[in-house]
Amino acid sequence: MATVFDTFANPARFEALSKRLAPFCLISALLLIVIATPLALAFSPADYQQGDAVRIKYVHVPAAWLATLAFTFMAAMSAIAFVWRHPIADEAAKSAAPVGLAMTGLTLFTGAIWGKPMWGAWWVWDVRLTSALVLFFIYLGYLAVWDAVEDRTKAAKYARLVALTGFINVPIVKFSVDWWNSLHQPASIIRMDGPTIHSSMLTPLLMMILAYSLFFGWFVLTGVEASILETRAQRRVAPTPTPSTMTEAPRQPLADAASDTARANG
Amino acid sequence: MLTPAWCALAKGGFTRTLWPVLARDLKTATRTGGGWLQALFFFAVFCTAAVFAIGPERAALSQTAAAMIWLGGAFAVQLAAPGIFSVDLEDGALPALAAENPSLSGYYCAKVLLLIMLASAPIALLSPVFFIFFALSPGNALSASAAVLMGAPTLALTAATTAALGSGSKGGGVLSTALAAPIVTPVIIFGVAASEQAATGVFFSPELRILGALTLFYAVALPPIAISALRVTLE
Repeated sequence: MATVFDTFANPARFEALSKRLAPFCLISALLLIVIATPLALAFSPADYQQGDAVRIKYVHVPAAWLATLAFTFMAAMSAIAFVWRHPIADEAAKSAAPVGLAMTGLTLFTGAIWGKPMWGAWWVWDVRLTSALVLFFIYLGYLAVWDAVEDRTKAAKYARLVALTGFINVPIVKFSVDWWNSLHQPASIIRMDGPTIHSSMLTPLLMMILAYSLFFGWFVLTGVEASILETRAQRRVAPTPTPSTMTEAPRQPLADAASDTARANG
Repeated sequence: MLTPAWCALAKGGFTRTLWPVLARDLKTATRTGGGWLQALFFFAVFCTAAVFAIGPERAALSQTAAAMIWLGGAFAVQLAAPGIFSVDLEDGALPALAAENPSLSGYYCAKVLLLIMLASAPIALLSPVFFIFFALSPGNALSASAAVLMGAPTLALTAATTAALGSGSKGGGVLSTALAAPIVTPVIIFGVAASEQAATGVFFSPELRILGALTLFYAVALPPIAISALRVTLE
């Protein structure tokens, strides 16, 4: 386990992987969306109860999936950063947060325009909806920590703890429909007795979920790449560290970590 | 480091930090012109304002009683919390303590106990009065307050944790309120439900049990997080 993390904790090696993987993620995500959109909007059947309104689910479900996936990813990366002190893991968690925030927002928005015709209300104070709203606030809080703490190394350390604490909410979002009586429908794809939706609907839905996930992968990979480049540029601006930067280390020395891990591996 | 805070209970350093810090803080709190009353005062003002906002209808008041009292209590404890660490960080007491005894568990527990003694327990003890203001019968008010008393340690634990997480930044107060959302929301949900159940005569409701479980879970899960955050601030 640890050796895999160690390998990609090296920024140079991470960049090499990311340069190949990121375009693949982006292109396949776009392809999948191009194929799945007509399938979802035109060729899949309308619901026998909900009519054409059911088609919102091809945006709503993948967005909700990504909203929880992104936070789970952030918590996992934070745990890795906490245990093995890999700065790349912090950067990965940080890059995932904006996608998670946007997707939680999209989930709430599409849920509202789906809820209006189905439940007759834009918003109900239901456990699923409320916990999703709390997730939105946690994303905001996580990003606020990165902004509020000036020292990037320290900000990363606080942010890890926030992500780990905030993860308490993710199982609540996921299982709220099972634990409480909810207006929101329960899970229909991942179930003990198999999916309960017909394959004509399931295929475009799964394609959309995969497309969103690949998009997430592209966003995180390029986000980490950008932060590596940023760190490198900062080092170029200040090639000779002054005594104060030596002791305080105000910016995360990614390149230092690279040579450290290279030494550890070599 | 994620050292289990309670492990330090077995070692002597825990009580050697806990009691002096608690005694000193209680002394300062009582000698600074009634500063320890702040949380209680906020709670009283919040509840009174809520009564005005809802209006004098007894049915409406008794329906919102548990919600308003839990919200007021949670906010009061949350607002009292940021000061507990910033005082010691500013005057250098916390770095000195940490240099002497790197395990901050005794210090953290002293601060949680302080919050319980100065904020959440007094609020819980005063809440029967406000339940009666909110048109509950005295008996029901007492049992609804018992649920608040059971949640009092949790409110202090969550407030101290978010205060520790926000202790490193200038706008720590606002930040820690934002960070409180995920951990305080379950307490509010089950606390309000437990108080409502208690007010209708069912004291040992499932919600009260979940509130108790939540208190125990937080007592184990939150101290390591808070102490790690304090260590980051001290770095």
